[in-house]
Amino acid sequence: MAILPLRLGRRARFAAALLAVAAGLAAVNGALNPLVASARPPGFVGQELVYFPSGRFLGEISAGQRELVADLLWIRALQYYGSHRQTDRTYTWAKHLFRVITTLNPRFVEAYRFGALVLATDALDPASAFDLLKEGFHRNPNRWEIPFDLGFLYFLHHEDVLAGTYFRRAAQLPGAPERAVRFAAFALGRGGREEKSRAMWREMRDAAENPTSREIADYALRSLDLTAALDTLSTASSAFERARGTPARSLGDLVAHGFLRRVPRDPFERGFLLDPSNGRVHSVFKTEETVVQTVSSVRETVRLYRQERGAFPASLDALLTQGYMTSIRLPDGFSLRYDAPTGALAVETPALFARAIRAR
Amino acid sequence: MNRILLVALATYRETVRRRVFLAAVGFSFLIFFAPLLAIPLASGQKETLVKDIGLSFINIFGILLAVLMSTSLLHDEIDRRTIYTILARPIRRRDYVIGKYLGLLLMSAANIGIMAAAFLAILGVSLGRLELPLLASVVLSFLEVAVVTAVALLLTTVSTPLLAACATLLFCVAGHFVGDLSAFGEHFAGPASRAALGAVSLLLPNLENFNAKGELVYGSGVSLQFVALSASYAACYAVLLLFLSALLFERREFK
Repeated sequence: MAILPLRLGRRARFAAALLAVAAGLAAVNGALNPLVASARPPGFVGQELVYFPSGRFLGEISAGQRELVADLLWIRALQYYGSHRQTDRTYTWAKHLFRVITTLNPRFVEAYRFGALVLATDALDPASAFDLLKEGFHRNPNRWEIPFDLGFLYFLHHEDVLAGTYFRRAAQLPGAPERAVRFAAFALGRGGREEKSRAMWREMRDAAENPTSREIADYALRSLDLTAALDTLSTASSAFERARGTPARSLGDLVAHGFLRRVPRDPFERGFLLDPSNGRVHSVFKTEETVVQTVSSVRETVRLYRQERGAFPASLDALLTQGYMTSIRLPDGFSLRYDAPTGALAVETPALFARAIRAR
Repeated sequence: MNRILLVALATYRETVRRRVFLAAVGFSFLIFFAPLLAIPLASGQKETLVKDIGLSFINIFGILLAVLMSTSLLHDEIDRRTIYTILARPIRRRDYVIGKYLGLLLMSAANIGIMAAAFLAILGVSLGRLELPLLASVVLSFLEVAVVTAVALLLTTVSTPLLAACATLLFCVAGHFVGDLSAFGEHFAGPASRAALGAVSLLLPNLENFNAKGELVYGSGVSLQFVALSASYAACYAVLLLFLSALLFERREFK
């Protein structure tokens, strides 16, 4: 043990050396991994998945380990979802990923459920969410979870009769929880839709089997709170304009003149802005979210255009006219500045939002 | 230092003369031609297909050869009892381990270098231009091999060649899922499993640090800073594993 000339016993020196190496490895990983990751070109995950093979092809080459490959892809899908949730909230490849996983392992019920939740609530692609769940139900007719989720999605899309039907079907399957019957009654019974949605999301959150699904339910609940707060503010602003003949100049005006007792709390804690030119109330969080999603989506499409055609599009309109995108939606007052030679994008922020967004 | 170099050169000479080295290099040449045959079926993906397959095979063959050589070399010397002759000379065991490692790296550099030259030549003929930016992926593959060789050498000092080879290949697979492991822990595991997964992902080599094939084939390439940071990571990780290998080899008793 000439390597460690310490005044310790042979075994103690060896143990100390092992610990030192373990600490060293942890330090190297802890310090250098984030640096290497930050030096990688940004936003590559989505691009990488453009070339992600189909589930059938992966099944053929998995040498009988379809379930294992599906499990590994499941982890990759969670990572994909998590990374985009923290950054651009754009989920271009979510549908493809969950399709591949469920093709590889048609009994992977959690993949249908989580995939549909992501597609319906985050990727704003409810049609694909319904397709995924219906396919899952066809392949797993004895699992209550899938018709239950179908019922929930139908309820969110105001198809109460279908929602009730699926909740009832779920309730008849083995292992179904008591809340399936209750949800069927909710969907078909009387009462405010918002109140029922809130109650269902709350139960979904409490019953969620994984933290990510819980976070999605929590986000949905906060979004409902945000919508309610925006409704309150918009109603007060309209009342102000009707009563005084001119739009309020700020949210403080609404409170000062008694149209509002106090400004409601923003569940995302980014605040609200009142446009004094027209009295419209905006949520900073929702506005930012829309801008970030649109910019990410345009940026990725520009990259894809370049890959396929060897040059950047001459203008952003080219993306629309050549079928790469159907629309480029931005909140009022926002616009995109595009540099065709480099493909760079910049957002023009209206004065109203400039301070709020800079402050972030 | 001279002793380390002597061991390294002897190791290099011994490994490149082995049939497995020549077979691996020869076979990889055949593999590079395979995508050219598949071009008519590639439906517009000709370029990416040729690059993908080429870079992947350089990586796979580089790792396989390094694992095979690293795990068999030490065992062969013990088996043939030549190690007694070497260790009877005025050479410290740690120098022997470091020399072996450097010799194996030289062999891998030769293997990857030959494969890369052949690949770029075939690609150049096929596309009509030299794709030098892909060299970054070749360098990163070599860095990955450097880490894998250190893992293989460490396991060889405490295990049989077959077990060491299998365990090293498992390390390679796990090394590409380190990020997923910690993500899985964050999303699904309980506190104890999360801590265990976190600890494992802190100890395992993150081999994704050497994987930029996607960026190089489909994206905008990688920066010099990325390659330099990956190199630093490989160097730090390999040095620590070599230290441990030397430590274990010093404790080992030869009968």
